[in-house]
Amino acid sequence: MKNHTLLPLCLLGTCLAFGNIASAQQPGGLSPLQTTLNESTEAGKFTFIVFHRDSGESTRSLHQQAQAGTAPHGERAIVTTARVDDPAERSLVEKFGISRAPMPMAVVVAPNGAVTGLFPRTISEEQIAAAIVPPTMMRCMKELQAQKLVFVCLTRTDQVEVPQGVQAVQQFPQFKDRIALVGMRLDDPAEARFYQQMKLDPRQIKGPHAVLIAPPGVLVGQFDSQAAAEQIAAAIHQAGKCCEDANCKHNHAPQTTRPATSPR
Amino acid sequence: MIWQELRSRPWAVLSNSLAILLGVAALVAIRHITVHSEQEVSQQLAQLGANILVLPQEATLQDYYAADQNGGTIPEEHVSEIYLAGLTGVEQVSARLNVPANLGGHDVTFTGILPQSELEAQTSWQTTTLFTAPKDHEGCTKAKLSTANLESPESLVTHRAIQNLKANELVLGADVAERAAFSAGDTVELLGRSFTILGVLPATGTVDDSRVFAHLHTVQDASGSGPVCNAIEVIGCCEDAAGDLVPKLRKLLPSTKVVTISQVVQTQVGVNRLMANTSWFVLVVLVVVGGVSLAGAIAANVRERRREIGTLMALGATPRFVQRLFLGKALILGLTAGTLGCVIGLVTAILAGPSWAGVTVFVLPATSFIAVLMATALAIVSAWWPARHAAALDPCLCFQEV
Repeated sequence: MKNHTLLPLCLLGTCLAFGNIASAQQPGGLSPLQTTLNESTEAGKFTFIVFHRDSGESTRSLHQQAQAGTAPHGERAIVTTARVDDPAERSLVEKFGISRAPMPMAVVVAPNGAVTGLFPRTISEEQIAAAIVPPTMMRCMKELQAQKLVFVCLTRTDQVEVPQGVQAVQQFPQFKDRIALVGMRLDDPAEARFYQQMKLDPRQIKGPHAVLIAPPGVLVGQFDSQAAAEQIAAAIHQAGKCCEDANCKHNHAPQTTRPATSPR
Repeated sequence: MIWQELRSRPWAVLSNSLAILLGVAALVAIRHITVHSEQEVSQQLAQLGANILVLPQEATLQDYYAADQNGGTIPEEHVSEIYLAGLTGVEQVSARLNVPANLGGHDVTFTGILPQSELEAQTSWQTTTLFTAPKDHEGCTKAKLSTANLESPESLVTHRAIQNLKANELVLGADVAERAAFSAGDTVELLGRSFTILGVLPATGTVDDSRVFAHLHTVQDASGSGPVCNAIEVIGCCEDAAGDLVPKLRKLLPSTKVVTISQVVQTQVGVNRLMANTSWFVLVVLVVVGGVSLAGAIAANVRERRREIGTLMALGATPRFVQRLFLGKALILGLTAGTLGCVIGLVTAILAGPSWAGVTVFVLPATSFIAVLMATALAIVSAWWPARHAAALDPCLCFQEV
């Protein structure tokens, strides 16, 4: 029994140590991790990166948890490791903002580059399943992490229908560079989790319909073809206020449009 | 006539009005310090009400601005842990580390801070927690549609954070810049490293005035303290959010002390309450001791001057004139004692305010005027009965006593 446990641990330790040597041996181009991420993008896989400072017990444990947790997801996920203090990976470490984060840490990167999860020290099967997000959610997260306002336009065909009010808001100077449109098919079962999170009932949706999500991931409201641009703009401004507390800092922020009741 | 009476007995005048003078001085000093201390507390609550401090367990709470000077340290990775927890209402997280240093021959506090530009990735982590750990929105959930303008060094005062700060840049507190005669653009040596001064902060009246701010990692490297900080300031978007955050932060970081600004100023609020109560006590003492003392002195004066009063009345002075004579004397005594007491109280408050209560005291005209008015009114009221008694004297009886 002991030999069975020891062998994978030795192999993992060798991998982690070899990874360090390998990273130093990379030519001036891409780092090993960036290469892995690029391969994952091409293969449409989620990359579970186990960042670590040493190859100690906690690192081995997190790596094993990630390996075991991603196994049921088969071809959709791969697990890799990287030293957080590896000079070759510095740019990615800085990009993820984890240079001073608790280690070891699993960072989940979607095929499109969105970070869909960060799990310090341990990772559970539920967390792994949650980090492998539906396609539309993955695109939304990518845009939200770029500080964009995301309109998810719902459709039953391959043709994306954008409500007129949303089109008009896109032309507003204060929003034109900050809005991203993402199409989503209502009849795609792979998106079911996203429907639930957006509190959508596909049966109730007729005609152009958009769901607005603002950074960091706040569901602002839903707008159909009847929604006016001013109404949508008011809802966006309302979302910038955090609550009705008179002392709230955001209640003192200048408002370009009088906030209206938003359908949050 | 009143003037001659006062000049002829200066020591009697002084002793008669001493109680009023001291009472007014104490009252004015206490009220000035209390009012300014209360203003300071309410200002701190208004400005920092949504702020939470994460401190080492052994930290003591005396002053919000100096809370990160307790000496103990906590790991900097707590900053990441706070972001990773996806707590609702977290607006900004700022870590600070203080080390002693010498700048241009002056002892300063070298404070390391993390510029917000280096925490942008961490703020986007909130997206992952909102999507992958979905829950109903509770309390203070807001969209991040705009960010506060943290570009200028002054934002360290207004928002307690700065957007960009390079590893070789410094921001000087107002006192440090004035003492060392440095200004923006100068190059200085600190802990063996060369820095360029990015800017000078406006005076705040807090310990920040005597600090030199630099990048946290630079301060950590220069001082050899490792990846630690003395305090982490978590700025909630409102007081409600801050209130909800405290128990969550305590659970998340059990080895630390998590406090709100209200808890930090609690001691000061207690002192203010004590001083306010003391001022009422002093007011009672002023009325009782000062009033009785002056009434007794005027009554004694009336007894001593019976013959003169009789002579005046025999020469045609009316009782009203005699009464006004004593009331006039009381008026001058009250006005003089009140004014002098007020001046002494003001000087005491201005000199002692910063050390007693840590506040800068300015003259409160209304309080000063009311104190002088009260002292004058008290003197007149105290002299009323002896003056009436003097006015009621029979000149014939006065001469019979001769």
